[in-house]
Amino acid sequence: MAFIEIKNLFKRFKKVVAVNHIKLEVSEGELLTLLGPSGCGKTTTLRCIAGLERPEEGDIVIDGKPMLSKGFVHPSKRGIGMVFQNYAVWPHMKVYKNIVYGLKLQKLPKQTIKEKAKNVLELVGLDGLEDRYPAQLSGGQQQRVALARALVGNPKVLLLDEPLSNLDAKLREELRFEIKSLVKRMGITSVYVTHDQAEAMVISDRIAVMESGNVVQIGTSHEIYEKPANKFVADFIGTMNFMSGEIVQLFKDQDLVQVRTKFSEKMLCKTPGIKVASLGEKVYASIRPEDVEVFTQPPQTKENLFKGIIAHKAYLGNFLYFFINVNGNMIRVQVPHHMPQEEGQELYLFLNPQKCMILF
Amino acid sequence: MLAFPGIAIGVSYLLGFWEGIPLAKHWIIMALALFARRLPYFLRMAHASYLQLDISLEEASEVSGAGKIRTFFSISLPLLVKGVLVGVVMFFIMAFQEISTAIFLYRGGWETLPIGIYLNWHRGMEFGIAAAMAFLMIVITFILLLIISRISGGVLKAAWGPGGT
Repeated sequence: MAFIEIKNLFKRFKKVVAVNHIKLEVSEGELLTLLGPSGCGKTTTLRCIAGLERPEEGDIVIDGKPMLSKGFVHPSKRGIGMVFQNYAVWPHMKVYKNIVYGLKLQKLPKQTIKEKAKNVLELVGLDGLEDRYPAQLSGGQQQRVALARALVGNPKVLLLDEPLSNLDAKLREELRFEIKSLVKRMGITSVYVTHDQAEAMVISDRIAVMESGNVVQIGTSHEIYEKPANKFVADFIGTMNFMSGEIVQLFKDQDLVQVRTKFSEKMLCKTPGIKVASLGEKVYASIRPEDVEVFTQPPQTKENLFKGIIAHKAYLGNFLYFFINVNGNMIRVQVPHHMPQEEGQELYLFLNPQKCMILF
Repeated sequence: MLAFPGIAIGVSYLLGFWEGIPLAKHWIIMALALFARRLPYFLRMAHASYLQLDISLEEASEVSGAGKIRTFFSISLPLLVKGVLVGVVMFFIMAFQEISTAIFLYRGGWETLPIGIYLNWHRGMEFGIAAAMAFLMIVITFILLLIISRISGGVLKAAWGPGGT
């Protein structure tokens, strides 16, 4: 059974629906990420789990106990730890006091409190800094204090609300791995909110992609990247070329469909797995920039082969982006950084039908 | 209260407390009127410092297991105290420099410093004494401002760190 169950959760602010009857389950020890653009309802969902928002409808069950249907359970009684985007460490308390605040409320013996604080300080790499004020620490250290404060009481559930988005890029990547290994080592069931798809892919066991109050897709990083449920997910996770068109023929025996797009009359794509495609349906033939194969001479294959001219070249260090003009339409292609071609030169693009997805 | 000019408050306190409760014949009226005149400014400042208090600081306390009352006394109040103190000192400076209200209420023996300057300059042609009083006023205000920067400097340091991150 799921450790956290979100049932039919509905929350609105005045007339704006923030969370629209969503359903989610998090297993014990799992790290689930809520991913989506700002305003998609991910933070509101997290705050509902924490008890910092009161939803209009639905229920949240944590470890078998309903948080809403049998009377509202106050955040202080939910057994959760939470890390906020802006750290929210208390500036008037030293690191040590920040961390033991919750333990003192539990009226634990002094010795136990000391030991727990010492352990958690070591765990997050803050030992020796317990007598500092938060203002004397860097942003990364302050977020470690917040993490220690959330973990010290052995919460049943850890909630993280964009904990890394106020930090600089390098530190963010470092802390991602640290948080993941820490949470996994302690085996805490966690819900992580972020708008950063790379962060979500690195840190999560599963990702729930949200769009305007709805969960659009739930799956592992791999599933979501390889088999996006719709155009929104494909666009939000990674980069994707979309070619709008309509289905003109189905080849059921080969699991292929033919799409007419602005690029060409005939384009072969993989049959979509999620939804049954029908003739004449408006769809997007889609391919990732790294899946486009590039040739300087025309290769043997005749299908899904396009000739184009490099319109822009962007150097990103470990690879290049070519923006290639095919019959007046732009397609983005990722190629190795040593490709010598320059803007204005011709290239052949092979869009492998097995890599071309149909999205709705 | 913010909308009333100082003169209106001075006149209304004078007339209102003339008969019935004859407070206007005692120096206490001066303190009362100046207090009432500048109170809204103080409340505005105190409220602003409450608004600046990050709500997630209180939420973090609740999630850590504290109730509303505990959170107020352990988190909100200590963080507000300095802001309120600054407000109190500003409140005093403003009341101390007030002339439009005070000018209707003063009597011999309890003139405020601004009234003293006005009287010496305008009625007595004692420019020297007026100048000395003005200087005294500047010094006192300056000392109070130093106190404010001392307190609020502390607030800034606590909240944002000693310059940068």
